[in-house]
Amino acid sequence: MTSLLATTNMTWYLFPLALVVSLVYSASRYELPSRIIRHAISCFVRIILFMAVILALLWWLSFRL
Amino acid sequence: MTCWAGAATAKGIEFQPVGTVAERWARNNLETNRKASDMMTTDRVDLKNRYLAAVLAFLVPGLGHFYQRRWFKGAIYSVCILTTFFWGMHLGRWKIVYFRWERGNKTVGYLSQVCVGLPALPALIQSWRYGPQEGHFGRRGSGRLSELEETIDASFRGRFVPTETGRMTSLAAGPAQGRIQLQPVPGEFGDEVRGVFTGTVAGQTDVVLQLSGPVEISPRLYASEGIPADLLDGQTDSDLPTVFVSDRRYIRCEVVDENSAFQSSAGYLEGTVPRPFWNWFEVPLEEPAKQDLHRQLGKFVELAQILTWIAGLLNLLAIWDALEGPAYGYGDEKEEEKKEKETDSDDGPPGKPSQKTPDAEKAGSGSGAAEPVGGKTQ
Repeated sequence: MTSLLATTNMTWYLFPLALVVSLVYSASRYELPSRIIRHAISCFVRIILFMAVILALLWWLSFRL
Repeated sequence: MTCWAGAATAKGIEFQPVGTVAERWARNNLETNRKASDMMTTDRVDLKNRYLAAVLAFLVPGLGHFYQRRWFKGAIYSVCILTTFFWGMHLGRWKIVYFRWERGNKTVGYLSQVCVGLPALPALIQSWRYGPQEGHFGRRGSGRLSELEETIDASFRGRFVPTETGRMTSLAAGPAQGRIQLQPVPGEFGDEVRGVFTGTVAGQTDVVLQLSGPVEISPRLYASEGIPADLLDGQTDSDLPTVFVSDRRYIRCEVVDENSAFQSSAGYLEGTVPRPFWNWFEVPLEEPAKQDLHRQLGKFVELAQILTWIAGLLNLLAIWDALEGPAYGYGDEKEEEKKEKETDSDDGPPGKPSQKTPDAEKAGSGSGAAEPVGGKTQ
């Protein structure tokens, strides 16, 4: 288990976590299942894009350091 | 002052009076209030007893929604929140959820974890149970050791170490495994400990050893304690490192030399007995165990904590949803509004006959509503 944890990049944990947050947040906004799913997908994409932008920014800032 | 609103039709833009500015403002205000009301509690969702639902949603994520027969949302809340919480617990080896509120040592994060409800609530009881325990840091430096206060009757795994002066020469040092029974009894000079061990010692089977105090034993409740690996395996190599475990409890007691007239010691038994689940689960973690956890898991301890915190915070949304309904409405409001508009345009409210403007004629047929800037006034 320890070796598995050590070899897993923590960044990958973002995806299931973003999915969970999107689903629960959307479920608290609407009642209609189709609307919840649609809102959750867009929310998930926005979170991932935002994090990707932050990642790119940090990568650019740390370039050649 | 009458306001005019225009709508583009196939014949051009038609203007109709929509009332005075005051009337329009009042109507818009009414509309805003109606929408706000829909946002808080939509009439289309049967919240049943909303307070009971909120309590249920707090105790078990999703349970309040199941009570309200909102199956889809209940499933989302229970699966997502409980998975996140137990995923974090698993990553943190089931030791990151506990409650401690002392000066300089406060688990503030528990205030978020407890929002998950029943899965985190035992920590409050465990904190209360853990508090009154007495003990001192033992010579092994791995945890608190105390005198025996309760009866022990459990399976034992460890080793027997004879003293140099012991006359019980039939038994050599070696692994010991069997059953141990210890109980405090009133003695001549106060409470004493008496007991018996039955099992295998250094390869000899059906060995019976009479036991006595002093007994050193780690606390009944302990999240994780350091025990030498040789004791866990029943080996005699004392150079093995300390291992932090939760489900075993360190114990050491003297073996009575039955050949001696003065009940002198023939050696000692040292090993572990099982610790039940409810005596380590969500029990406050001591500093050495906490450091060991960080040493072994590194940054994953923080990740595990964050996952449990997020799970608790997400359940706040679920509780609020069970209490007040969906925040933005049912979810098909736009479609409803479209239908309402269509119905309104079909019926055609009584008003002034439509007027065409030259601009509208130029624009021809268009889609959507158009309103002159500032409204046409008369």
